[in-house]
Amino acid sequence: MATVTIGGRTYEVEVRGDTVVVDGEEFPVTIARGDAYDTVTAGAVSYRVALPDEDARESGMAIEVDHRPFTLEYEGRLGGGPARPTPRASSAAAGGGAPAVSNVPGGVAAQLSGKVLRIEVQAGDAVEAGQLLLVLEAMKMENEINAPKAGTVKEVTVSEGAQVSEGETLVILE
Amino acid sequence: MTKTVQERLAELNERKDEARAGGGERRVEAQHGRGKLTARERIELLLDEDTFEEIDALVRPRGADRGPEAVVTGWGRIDGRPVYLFSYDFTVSGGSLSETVGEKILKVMDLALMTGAPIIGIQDSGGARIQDGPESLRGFGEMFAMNTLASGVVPQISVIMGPCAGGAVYSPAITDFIFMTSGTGQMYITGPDVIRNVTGEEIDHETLGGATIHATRSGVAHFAIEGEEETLSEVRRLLSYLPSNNAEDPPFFPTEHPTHAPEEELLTIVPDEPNRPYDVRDIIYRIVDDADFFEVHETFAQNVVVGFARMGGQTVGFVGNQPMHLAGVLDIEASRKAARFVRTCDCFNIPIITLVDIPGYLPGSSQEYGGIITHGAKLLFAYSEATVPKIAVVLRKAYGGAYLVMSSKHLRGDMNFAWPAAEVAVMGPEQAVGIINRREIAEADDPEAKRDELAEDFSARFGNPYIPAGRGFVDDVIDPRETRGKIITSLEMLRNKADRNPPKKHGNIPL
Repeated sequence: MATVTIGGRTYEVEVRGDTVVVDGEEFPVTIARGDAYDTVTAGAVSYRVALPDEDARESGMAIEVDHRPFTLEYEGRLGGGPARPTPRASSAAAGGGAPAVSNVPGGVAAQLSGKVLRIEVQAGDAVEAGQLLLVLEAMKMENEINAPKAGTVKEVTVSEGAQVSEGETLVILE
Repeated sequence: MTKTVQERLAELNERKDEARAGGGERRVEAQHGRGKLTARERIELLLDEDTFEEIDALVRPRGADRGPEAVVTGWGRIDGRPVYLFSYDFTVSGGSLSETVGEKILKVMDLALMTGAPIIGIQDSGGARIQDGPESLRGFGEMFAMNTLASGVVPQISVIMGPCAGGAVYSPAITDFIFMTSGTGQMYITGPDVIRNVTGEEIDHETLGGATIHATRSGVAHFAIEGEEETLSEVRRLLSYLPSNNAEDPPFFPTEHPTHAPEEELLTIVPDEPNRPYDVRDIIYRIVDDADFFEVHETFAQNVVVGFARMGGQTVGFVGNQPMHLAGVLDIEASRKAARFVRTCDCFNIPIITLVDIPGYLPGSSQEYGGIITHGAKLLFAYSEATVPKIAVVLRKAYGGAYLVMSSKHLRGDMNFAWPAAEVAVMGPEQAVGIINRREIAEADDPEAKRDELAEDFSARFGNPYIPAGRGFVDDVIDPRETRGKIITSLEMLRNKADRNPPKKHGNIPL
């Protein structure tokens, strides 16, 4: 039994195997592990839950539910061990979807015509997937261009202030 | 000699067991070896426990003594509500569509339409059974016609968990939602072999018609999900937002989330600078019941976000411009995606909530040549035609035609709210002064500085929601923290809305 506070509300929670009892109401829970988040199904509803690394899980930790940040505090033992995970990954196909493609292998293309406002990386930098490469001003918006995958910056093919057109290569990763 | 009742029961059981065995142990093993479940295992996972009632288990292929046929059909319950389904059995003749397979499927589709319940098709089929000739083609054709008649009457959901090629793709294409399981679900009109023979292009099955491609590039699939179990659980979740048919309202889920739950964070998510992006989903999570948002077409045309949620227990559909992707512009794909979603909501009595922050339609020759005029008009048409409650909130920018299209009052929008930072204008300040003050800027010593100065002045005068509010184009300017409460009370006010379009055969949406 534990007292859990999240989103400004407090609940009495007990974990019994695959069933979680919240304020006396029982929910059958299944968890599908994924890379970016786990999909937790409680009754008829699924939530995407991202937790910190296992050794950093303690009262006051930051978690995300359906991409929304929460602080989770608890007192007492959640006990009973975690619900049995199912081995399937759950994340839907990520990223992409953009029509403009660079004609250079490893090239990251401009999705809109615009002006290069800031460049945040240089040749030789190691980048992670999703890391900010540069900011492109287009349609009156500062559009963040992120790395589609992890790698090393081979070349930045534009300079700050340059006008680029849709499909033009901005950065080459390898 | 007369048979005893025991003997007759034994025969019945034997025939039933034979039908349940599908293509036999070896083929079932092969199916599992490909990481796929059998037709019956999928049905068990999809439905409420022990609710499957099979129909036509004893149907056998034309000319054969015994079954089974390559599809399992019947009905069962999801969250207690009846659904009909057909699930192709790949272990029997590669799940190929014969004359009798077609007849089995048409029978359950007919029942679904007549009784007003959703129909779910699980696809895992090699295509038409060639030996059956035109009889199998007839099966496809009659299915297309039945899908079309059922469209807008009962929800139709397709789940692609294996090959779905050639003519077989068009039945799912007519349905409301397509789920694809990553890695095993594939859809294409012609496969890699035919493409190589005809055009010489080398391409593999997954790159041509895998789940990722259809969920990101073509938009054919609404969901690409890893794992069959996970895919089926998402089908269940989707159905929880939909009514069983077009004469019912979606199921009501009572919530303890208060109607008036002011959210401080709504004051800071949208940056004060009009050129800074943010994730519109961060707003949606903070205004819907229990932060629960079910996104549709998550990876396709990401510059517009669509999906289902509940507010005050009632299903709503969200359409939101997404400033963090392509600046939130409307282009061809985003227009198609949003228009389809608006029409889906209208079919099934789901109110539409629109969150507006849009710089405009995407300019450029590739858009014009691609027919942005026709495709953009789809969204105008869809919003104008929809008779469900329509509520919009202008979060920041709403310029020009893009303002009009996003559920404005002028397209029969019911309630239109604006946040205090909203700007409703014919165009953005820089463009506006570039036209109005063209000469003044050209003659200035420093044209750039002059333009900025004039734009700032223009923005101060017109860049606020009080001009449209003064004309009643915006019903109210609201404190962002109270957005949830404003929307829910508006939904309550509109609950008995009974709007009607003029009698006609059907409109002629610019397809």
